[in-house]
Amino acid sequence: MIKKIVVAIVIGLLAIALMAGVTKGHKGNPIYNQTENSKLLGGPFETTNSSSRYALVEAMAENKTFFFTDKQAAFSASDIASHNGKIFSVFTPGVSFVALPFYLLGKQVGMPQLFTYFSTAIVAILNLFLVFKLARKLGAGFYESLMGGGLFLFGTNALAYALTLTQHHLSTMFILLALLNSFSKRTWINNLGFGLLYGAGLLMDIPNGLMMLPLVGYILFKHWFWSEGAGQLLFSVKLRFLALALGLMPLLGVFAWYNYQLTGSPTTISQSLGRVDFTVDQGIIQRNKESNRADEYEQRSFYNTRSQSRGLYILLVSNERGWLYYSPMVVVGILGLIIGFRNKETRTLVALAAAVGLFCLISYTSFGDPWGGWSFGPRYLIPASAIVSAGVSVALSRFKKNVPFVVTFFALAIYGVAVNSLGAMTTSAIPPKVEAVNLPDPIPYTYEYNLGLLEQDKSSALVYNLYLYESVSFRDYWLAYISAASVIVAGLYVVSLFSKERNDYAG
Amino acid sequence: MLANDSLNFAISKSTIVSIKHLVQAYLGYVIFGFLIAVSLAYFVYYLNNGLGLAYNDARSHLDIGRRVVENLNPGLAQLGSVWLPLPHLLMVPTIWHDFMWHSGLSGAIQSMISFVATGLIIYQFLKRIGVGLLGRFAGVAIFAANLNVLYLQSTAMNELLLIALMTAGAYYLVMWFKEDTLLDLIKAAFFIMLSVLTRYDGWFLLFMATVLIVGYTWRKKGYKVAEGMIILFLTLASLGVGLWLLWNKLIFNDWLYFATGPFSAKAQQLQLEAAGNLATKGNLWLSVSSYLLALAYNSYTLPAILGLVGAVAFWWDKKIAGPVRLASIILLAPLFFNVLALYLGHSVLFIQGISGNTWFNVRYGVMLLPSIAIFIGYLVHRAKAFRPTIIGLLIFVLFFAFTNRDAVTIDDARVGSSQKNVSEVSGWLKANTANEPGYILISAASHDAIIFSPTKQSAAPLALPITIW
Repeated sequence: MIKKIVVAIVIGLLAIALMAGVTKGHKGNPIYNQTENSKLLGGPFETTNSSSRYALVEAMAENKTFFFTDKQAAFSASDIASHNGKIFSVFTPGVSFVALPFYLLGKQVGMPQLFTYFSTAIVAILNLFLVFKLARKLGAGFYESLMGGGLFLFGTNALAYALTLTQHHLSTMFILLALLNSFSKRTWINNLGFGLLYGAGLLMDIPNGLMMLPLVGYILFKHWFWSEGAGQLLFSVKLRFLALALGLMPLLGVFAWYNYQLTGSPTTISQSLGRVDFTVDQGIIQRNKESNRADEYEQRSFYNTRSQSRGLYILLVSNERGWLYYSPMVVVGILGLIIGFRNKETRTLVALAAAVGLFCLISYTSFGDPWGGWSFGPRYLIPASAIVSAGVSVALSRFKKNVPFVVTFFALAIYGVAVNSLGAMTTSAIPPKVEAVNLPDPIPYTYEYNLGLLEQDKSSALVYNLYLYESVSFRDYWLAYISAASVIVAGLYVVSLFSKERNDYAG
Repeated sequence: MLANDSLNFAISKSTIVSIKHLVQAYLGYVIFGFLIAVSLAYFVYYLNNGLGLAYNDARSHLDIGRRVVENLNPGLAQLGSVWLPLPHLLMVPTIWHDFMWHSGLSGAIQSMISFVATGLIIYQFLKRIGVGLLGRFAGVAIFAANLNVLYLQSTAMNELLLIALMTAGAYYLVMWFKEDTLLDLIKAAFFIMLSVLTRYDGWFLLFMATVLIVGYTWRKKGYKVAEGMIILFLTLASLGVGLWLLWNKLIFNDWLYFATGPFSAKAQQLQLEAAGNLATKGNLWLSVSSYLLALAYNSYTLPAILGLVGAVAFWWDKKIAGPVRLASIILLAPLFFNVLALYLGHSVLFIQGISGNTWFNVRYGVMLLPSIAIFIGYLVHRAKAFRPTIIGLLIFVLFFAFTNRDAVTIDDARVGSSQKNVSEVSGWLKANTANEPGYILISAASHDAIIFSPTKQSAAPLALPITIW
């Protein structure tokens, strides 16, 4: 037991080291962008889904308000909304709420940006262990589960988004916690906890509520009991399900209060107002509002079934954002989930986890913008990647002595680490094809763009930019990083071969 | 009763058994009633918003039916050879009435009946292969809760009639494979014969059914039985083909006039090819991708994927008799037919984005909806652990399909190449000829929309007899 704790701590430390190796930043005084708020390519504010949330943190910390100054509005545009002439973030506030204490701490040492972004990085490392925990629940071996967790963080685009101030890792964390909670005994405390997690998930991003719906259904179902009596069926409903609502209320109340402050209505979220643009010179620039639509047959909601076939292509196989293109290891994960499903003891949990993953996939394939704007890989599928990564652990537990499988696994794992660390070390702002080819100077719309930046020595990795820029080429740094990550995975694999621990799938 | 933080209650077993029996006995009737109500409601909805006759072809179908009873030379010969005759023959009893003709109801009523019938066939199909109530309900819902189906059942198009006839034919054929009751084979032959007289998709169904019957009976029961079965089957099933050939010979003095005549699909396709608009001809990948996209758009994609999963699970399921699994291939007839027709250049299908910026004939994708519904119904029944997930995902997709009014068939009818706006021409004709004596010479081959629209008399738009040239 102690040995396992030590191994887990070592893996945690190695994960922190690997995260440090890709943390974004440039040389400044001493680190650039702590006060400048520059939208430099590859920098922490290169996309507005980070800068808008950061501006909200700044507004709360510096001005004690949710509303933006002109400077903050211009910095965050076009991820801003407007009501009664006031400007605020278009996003739900959860990420900024979580980041606020980190900002205040960072300000004390003159590095507010770096510390604010640590909030996501810490959650990303927590997610590594949550994937590990899920894999263990699915019956995978200890070391294989650590590999699954590690590959989630370093072998998928979760890495690139661990360096941003976006909702993805916090959403993933609350979804995984909710998933694990749903599989525990239904007590008042657990129900209260699930309600809190659901509310927290909504505060991070509204679609989390949709992804967690299968869990809600499952939990409610677990409060029903029936048995046969003399000539009658006895039904029993455990009233502790009411604790779900009790748990939900506080954070839902916070959300309602936040909405009320911004829009004058507790139920009107900023996203429903639509985005506006802003420049210091021109002020608020309205976009075409949905209510101005002339055609009653135009799309009406965020989710459009007509887009689904395109969304499936974009998010699964395309070279723009395809899951298989950026993290082909998910195939191994799906295989693992199938293996887990065939195990009677883990069948329900696999079905539940797969339901969450499928709701994630289907909802975002119906999304108007499955690309996620200028981004890296299928960022909306990060929660699904976490679930599938737990499946990787199961597949490894089952086939770790199967040579063709192991060779394929390592090839896919190293590819994933290479591609995704490249994205993390350069930029996560890659345009969709339709935009990239229509730019005045067209740029690649795949990770070729990142490769181009690599060739130009344009690193966004703080450690490299601060200390190694003059002694090592960026390419060598990247190769060394891939090697280090691969050695850790290979080390865990070797240890797993000699492990005497029994798991549900060992042949 | 409250006890131990629980709300407890008891129901006697006899009550539950009664409820169960009640549901089992009457769910079919409830679905029947519900389908009728939905059918009527959507017909009225599309009639009132003016979309019921948006398809150029819908107006043509109605005109053909009308010409049989009102024309310079009325009679059955007016059925022509462009389209197969059954849909127009079914209009004849009602098309004489101006409201029935001009509201489109004369053509829509058969679509509406077909809609209800198809829902019931799906229910019965699933019941006979052992699918439980939930699976049956899910199957019917997938078919009925689809705006493309609901729109087409509200129009004088012939998709729903064809769907009903083909599904009925497939149903009885599968039942014959399952139970070897000769009457099922005769019923299958009857419905396939009717589908043969509705659209050429039915001819392919006839071909597939023949291959399946011959292959199966020859292998299982020997040549003699196979010969007997196929003669029995084809005597009725291929009657439609014979009648159609004879009709063409009698009216046009050419057995194959429908296939080679100047207004045949082939002639139209040659024109399209000359204009460079028949890209699928000789291109298998484009043919497959075009049809699959049409299918995805008509079904809202996820149901098509789940239908495929259900089909694979069905064919894999050893609990289902081998012959039934074999016969169920017949449910894929529309897929094979449409891909083949596109590849051979006998059909044209434009998908916005891959065939320019327009739609044309995208409704062909709806033909597989009953098959998808059946396989999903089976999947819901079979995949118990994933049942809530499947149902949840389907509810999600259908909810947003209705919220967005997602109906690609309506887009094709409104802004695609399947529409035809002739208001300017018909307006001019009405203004300048309404009070003039005599007739207007007009080609019915491509101007049925003008003939249909109010020209000489607003109450009876086609009061002017026409001359075909």
